[in-house]
Order: sequence, then C-alpha cells, then structure tokens
Amino acid sequence: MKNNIKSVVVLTVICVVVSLLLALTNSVTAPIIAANRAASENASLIVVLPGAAGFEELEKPGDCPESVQKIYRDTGGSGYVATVSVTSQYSKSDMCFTVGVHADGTISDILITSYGETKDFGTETYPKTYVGKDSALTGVELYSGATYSSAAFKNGVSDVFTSLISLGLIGEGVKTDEQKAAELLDTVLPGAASDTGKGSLTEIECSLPGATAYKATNGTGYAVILDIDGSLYVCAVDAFGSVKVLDTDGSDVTEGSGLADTLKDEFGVLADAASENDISRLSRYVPEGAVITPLHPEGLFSTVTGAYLIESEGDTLYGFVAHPVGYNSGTMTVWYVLDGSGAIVTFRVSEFILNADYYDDYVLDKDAYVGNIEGKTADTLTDGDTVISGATITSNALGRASRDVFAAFDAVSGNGGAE
Amino acid sequence: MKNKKLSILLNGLINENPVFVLVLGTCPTLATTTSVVSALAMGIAALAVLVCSNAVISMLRKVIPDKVRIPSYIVIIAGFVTIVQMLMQAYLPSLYDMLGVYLALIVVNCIILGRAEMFASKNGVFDSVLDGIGMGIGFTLALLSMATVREVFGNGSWAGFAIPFLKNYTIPILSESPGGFFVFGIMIALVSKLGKKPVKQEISCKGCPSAALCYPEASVNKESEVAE
Repeated sequence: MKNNIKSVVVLTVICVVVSLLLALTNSVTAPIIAANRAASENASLIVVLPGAAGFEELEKPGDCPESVQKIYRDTGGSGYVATVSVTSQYSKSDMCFTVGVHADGTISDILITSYGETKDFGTETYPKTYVGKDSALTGVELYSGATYSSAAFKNGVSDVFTSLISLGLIGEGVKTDEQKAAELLDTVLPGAASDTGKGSLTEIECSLPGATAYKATNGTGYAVILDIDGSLYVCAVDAFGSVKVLDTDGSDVTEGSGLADTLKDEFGVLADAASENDISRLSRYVPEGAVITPLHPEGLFSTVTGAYLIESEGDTLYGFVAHPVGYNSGTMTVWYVLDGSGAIVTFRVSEFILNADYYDDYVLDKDAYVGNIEGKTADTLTDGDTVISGATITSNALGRASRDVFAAFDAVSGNGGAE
Repeated sequence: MKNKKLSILLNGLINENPVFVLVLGTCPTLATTTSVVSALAMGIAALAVLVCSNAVISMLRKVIPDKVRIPSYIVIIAGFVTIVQMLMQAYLPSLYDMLGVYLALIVVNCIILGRAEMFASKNGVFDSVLDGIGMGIGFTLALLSMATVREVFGNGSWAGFAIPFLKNYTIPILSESPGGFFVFGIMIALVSKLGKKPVKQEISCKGCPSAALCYPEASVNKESEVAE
C-alpha cells in the first residue's frame, strides 16, 4: 500500500513539474511561433504586393463571387490582395492563386500557389501577362491549347476586380471597343457555344473590308467583327442565312445596319450546302417515298443547321438536324423527326455518343435511351430525359439540341416555313 | 578513471553505435537521411533530448519506484521532446517543417528509452550525461554518414549544394525507401567489420526461464542450484 502511494505521488510530481516546464517554454515561444505563422501566411501576399507595410483582412461583400477566398488591404495604403480558388469542369483539383492590385486598380502581380491542371498552362509566364491591367483586362488572351485553364484563371481575376469594385476600393476599368467586340463573339452566335458558353470559332478569310471573320466549328454559322468608319459591329450569320448585327454595347442594330444582304452574300447559306446529305440521311427514318423539302426558319442562331418538311401519304412530318458542341469541344450530329403536333417521332445521334463502349465501366442501353426521348414534346421533355450517367457535357448538349429543335419546329410549323 | 569516462563517451560512436550496432531508432534514420540538413537536425534534436533525459532520469533513479519506472521515463522524455519541438518551431521554423512528424516521434525512439533504462537508471549523473552525449553523437554521425551517401549519390548534392559532376549521374532509388534500406544494410556491415569483435559467448540453458520446457533435466539442475 505504502509503495503504491509512493508510486502515485512520484509520478504525479513528475507530471506536474514537466507540465510547469512546458508551460514556461510555451509562454516564451508561443508569441514567436504565432509571428512565424503569420509571416508564412503573408508570404504570398508580400510577393504580389511588395513594399506593403502589413495586411488587414477585409470583410467580403455580400455579392462576392465564390472563387474569392479572402481580401486584404495593405495597411500602408499601396493596394489590395485577394486569394482566389477556381475550378474548371475539366480539372480534378482547384487552381489557387493570389492577386495583388495597386490602389489605382491595376494588377501588381499574380502568384499561383496551387495548381493541378495541364502542364502546358504556363504557371510562370501566363500570370505575368495580367500585370498592369485594370478590370477591363484589355489585351489579355486565353492560352491557346489549354483554354479551359486560362478561362478559369481569367474568370478568377475578374472576380477579384468585381469584389474590389463592389467594396468601393477601386474604380471600374474602361473596356475598349475591341475588347467588347471580342466578348460579344461568344454571345452573338449561341449555337456555336460549348457547355461553358464559350464560342467554338475558327478564324477564316473574308473579302469584306475591315472584317475579321470566324466560322463556327460545328457548322452552325459565322461570326464577324466589322469595322465601319471606326465603329465596331459584331455580326452573326446562322446556318439558314439569318443575320444579326450588334453594336459594341450589345444592342441589336440589324434593321438599321443594312448589312444583312451583304453578309448573306459573303457567307452563303450553310443549310443549303448540307441539304443533300441531310435528305439522304433523313430518308432512312421516314416512310419510303416521302418527299423531303428544305425549310428556312428565320432568326434561330441555334444548334439547328437543317430543317425539312416531310410529306408522305397525307402525313406531314418535320425533320431537323442539330450540331451541338459536346465533350472535348467535339461536334455532335443529332437527327430528329417530329410529327405535326411537335412530338419526337424519331431520334438518332451520329458519332460516338450512343456507342456501348463510350467510356469505361458504363454500358449505355441505346434503345432505352432513344425510347426515353421519342414521343416527347417541348412540354414533356425534361432535362432528366437526356441524361447519360457520368456524361454531363454530352447530356447537356443533347438537351440544348432538343430545345433548339422544338424552337425551330415552332418557327416552321406555324406558316409551313420558307422554301 | 579518466579512461573509463572516455570509454563511456566513445562507446556510442562505433562499438555500441545505436544505429549500426544496436540497430535502434531505425524509423527516423531511414526517414530523415534523404538530406544531410534534415539528418543533422534530427541528430542534434535527439542528442539534446538524450542528454537532458539521461541527466534527469539519473538524478531521479533512486526516487522513482520500480513500478512506475517506464511511465516516469516516458513523461520525462516526452517533456523534453516537446520543449525541443517548441524551441525549434520558434527559432528554427524551416528545420521544424523539414522534420515534420519525426521530431515528435523522438519520444518513442528506442535509443532514448533504451539508454535511460540500460544506463541512466543505473549510473551517476555525470556518467549518464557522458553516455547521452556519446550516444547522441554516434546517432548524429550515423545519420550524417547515411545522409551523405543518399544525398550525394541519390540527388547529386550535399546539404543542398549541387555537385556539378554528379548531377547527371544520380541513382534516384537511393533517395527512396528501398535505397535507404540498401544503404542502411551496407553501413551496418561496414561498421561490423570495423568495430570491436564481440566475445564469443557460450550458449547454455542456465538461467533461461523456458529451460524446463526444452530440457527437463535442466530444470532439475536449476532446483538443485536454488536448494544450494
């Protein structure tokens, strides 16, 4: 008993003495450790805003974009720093970077602190192209070959400016007309856009003076930036020859521009060029002997590139071809036949999408998938009907194509369409 | 007397080197010897803990009851390790980050507890301190020699300084775990060759608690010895 008591007492005393020593050491080292930790966290902040006296964290605005993690103000007044984390649908990991902005609203530096995307993004060089730019980001280009990474990066930088402007810390930069026009290219021809909203365009030769022309890679039309007497206009010609003209503020000035015929003559009608092939393919899905006549719906600017009237033994059907941009910016070809009430009678997809071995460990029941869509109308087709498990982009593309086809049906079925 | 003190000090360097002869502390040895700087940091941290814990345990050896011997040693060792951790985190943060979890693992390093149990608990304070210094220096030298081999031939550098003519002829596996084991085995063999030859001991069942299971006649001999 005596030995047990002695054991307990000795062990307790040892524990108490050791604890006191630890407490004493901690009281001396804790402030130094805290200062070290703060210095380490501030390391990236100092890199992008050198000469800063110190950093004070600010409260984020209520409408702050999700990508902006923290906002700091230099206590010396030289500028602001924000930490950003962005994702892109093609990346498994976030890209984190720190943006320094001078008090005058121009970027001082950008440092990528965490990056897990394609190796050719250029983590050392690409951020430097943003130095000196204001919120307009004039002249900043997306990195060719890794567009989705640079798009995420650019969006993150824009979000920083949005937050700082929202807090009233800096003024909004002025965008040049060229910049506004470049941004409108993504919206003037919606049919050419991928799932991210970015237009899939290739620059082509154009005989019009002062014009920079692009063709949609999915064949849904053309987009043109026209310089007329110093004023820039962004124009679109869809697959059926419809023309839309926007000024740099995004206002539709088609009627007053007088450019419709000029542009239509320059680029032609893509739907006419493809009609022979389309008719040949559509004839597989309609009764034998049906007469297929091309239609020209107006003002679609969508993924629909072909519209046809199909007449067979008193029945009237409508055939459509759509080319949505799918996975990996590839063009899909989707065939629809609708009856007079607008219900999908036949639905087919060319290219890879309905192949059973589309991707590992998943087998798509082709017949069930097609059966899920046939018979549906604009009112009854839902996003869930076009879903393919694990293939979000392709599912979205098929959903878009379907909605565009229903809109095209409404355009042609009312008055029978222009022949 | 002087020779005895010196032999205690020098014992840990080669003859009873804790890493290559006693084969203790293998985990931090393999983990921190990918670079000379981290090896040196680990060695010095372990040396400090060894000396301090040996001294205190020796001071308290007649006070600590046998029943709570091990828990008391662990508390003392853990206390010193934590103090070293805090001091390193405050004044040498880059080394602290480099050592990572292995700094805290010094608590369960067999060298520390082993020397406390085998030497400090049975000898005076000065001798225990000398033993701690000797073992600590032996541990550090062992880590340093392994780290030199692994970093020079595995990475083409030493203590972070690139060796130009080796940079293009590195053996990357030496920087990895398998390479660590290769180097470790070779160093043990080398030290075994260079060190004092052990005295050949005659093996017998005398004193073995399991003797009765193997040799019933041995247990009869033991009983007669006890009776005597």
